[in-house]
Amino acid sequence: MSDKKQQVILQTSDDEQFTVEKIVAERSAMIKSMMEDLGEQEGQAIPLPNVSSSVLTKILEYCDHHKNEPLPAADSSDADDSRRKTSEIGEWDARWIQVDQEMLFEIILAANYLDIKPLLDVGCKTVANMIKGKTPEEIRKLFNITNDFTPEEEEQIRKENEWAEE
Amino acid sequence: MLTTRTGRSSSSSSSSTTDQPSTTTPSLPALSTTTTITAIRHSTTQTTPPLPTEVIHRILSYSTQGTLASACRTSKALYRIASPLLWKHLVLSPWKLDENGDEVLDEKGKKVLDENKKDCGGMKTRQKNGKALRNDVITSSLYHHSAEWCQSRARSTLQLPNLRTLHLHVTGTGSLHSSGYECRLLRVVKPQILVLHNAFIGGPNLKMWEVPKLSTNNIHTIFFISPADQALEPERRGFSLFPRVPKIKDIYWLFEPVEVDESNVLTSDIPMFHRQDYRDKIVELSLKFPNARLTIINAGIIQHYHKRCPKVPIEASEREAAQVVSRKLNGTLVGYDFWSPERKRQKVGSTTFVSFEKFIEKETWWKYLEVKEVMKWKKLMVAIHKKNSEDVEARKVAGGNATDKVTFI
Repeated sequence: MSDKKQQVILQTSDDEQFTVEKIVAERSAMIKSMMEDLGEQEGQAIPLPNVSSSVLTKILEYCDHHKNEPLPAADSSDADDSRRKTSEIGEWDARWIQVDQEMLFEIILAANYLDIKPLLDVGCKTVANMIKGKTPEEIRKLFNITNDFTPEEEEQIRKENEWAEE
Repeated sequence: MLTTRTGRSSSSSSSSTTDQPSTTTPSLPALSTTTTITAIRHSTTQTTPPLPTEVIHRILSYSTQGTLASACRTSKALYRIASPLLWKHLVLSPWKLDENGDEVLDEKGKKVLDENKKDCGGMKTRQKNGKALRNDVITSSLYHHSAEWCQSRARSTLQLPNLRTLHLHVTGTGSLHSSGYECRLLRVVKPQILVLHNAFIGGPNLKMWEVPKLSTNNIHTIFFISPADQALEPERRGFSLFPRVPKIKDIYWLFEPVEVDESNVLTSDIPMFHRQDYRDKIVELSLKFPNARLTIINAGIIQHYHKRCPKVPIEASEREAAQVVSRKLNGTLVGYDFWSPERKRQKVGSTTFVSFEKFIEKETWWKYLEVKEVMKWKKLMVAIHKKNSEDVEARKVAGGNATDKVTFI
């Protein structure tokens, strides 16, 4: 029952250290389980070799805003899966995620690595909105994908999925 | 195989995949055998980092049909992710869709037929890499389609070995194809869950002879979804025409809120049929399937659509419907005397009424219903509740008898 806020130190790929509230850091299931494994070791930094300081700054903003919300269950069941689909992106989240595409993808990758499910969903929904109604060529551009189909193969797939075209 | 296409009068060039799988269509590379995907390529000219497969999968799981169809054509790697997601729910709909996957409406609010897919979305039943088998399909929605197309020899049946849920969207009078034919497409499907949309209160308007008999053999759950504003002459035989469903366990009957143009619909003289007969239909349904649990959802709303009905709280009319049905099941209903009193009492216990709100809060509805559709209903129900309580208030102010009591007409 101490009033003193518990804190943790996070160390990014570019060797910057961030001291954050435990409750904020715990938004990341990965950091949470790491802290549990390490135990209470004062002053020891948790290394995040896959996250840069600029991305972590951004993500901590998100975690801080949502720090008082209940954490999602560790094993999101079938039900949660469906529920997840129903909710649109929240107002604050939508504003917060207005970043350039490179940053957006970096955030998604970090959310995936840090295991922050709600954030991963916000990111994925944002990208889903970006590709809505796009042609295959536009989607390729966005994901930076090389077309490895022959024209005949692509045409065959188009025919296969004709029922689904809008 | 001879190239017989020149002799065909068919103008449809798209039938080539169906007719000549061996000659004209290139076979796709063995997509299923390839190992993990690394082909989400990343060139140095762009700074966008590549996303791992599971993330792409997550993104596409939020995508609509049309986007998934586009994604399938981008690359082999994406095809492997997007195609199963797309085929998971095979929607054979004749309607024009917008980029959100919603039906396009004309100025009168009616759905618009898409010329290119009027025969069930241009579906050629030997698709998916030239096979009639579509292992990816878990859910399928089938809409009204032309009998000629359905019966034509060029079509094979829908072979959907993993199909779990079948949604049938039938039309007001015409059922699946305005004809008495057995639906050829449905010949071999064996769903476990049948969701019947647009089922009229008078009895299911699906002409059940259109549904091949064997296809109801594995069904354990049926959902009837009835638009709450529909007032049809009660079909005399109603549910007695419904085929045998030997494994039935659960039946849900949901009264669907619909948007009504008040100036248009509510001023017309609506038959009184609803007030009493929909309850008879519930009793009838309950007795037709004695071993099934019956759940009636949102029955209270029916009052809302009829100007002759006194404006009472939706919950009150729901409660009242439950009482009437239970009374009838208890033995006062004429015509069901052949049921032993014991049997009826048993039915009273297994017929329950729930409000729409309780239902979506408690039941695992997402196993059966479309998330998008349920969210639309949820919005409508909020508006209806608001209007309903305003009406009740107005009556109170006017000194009317706005109690919980519902009087029979």
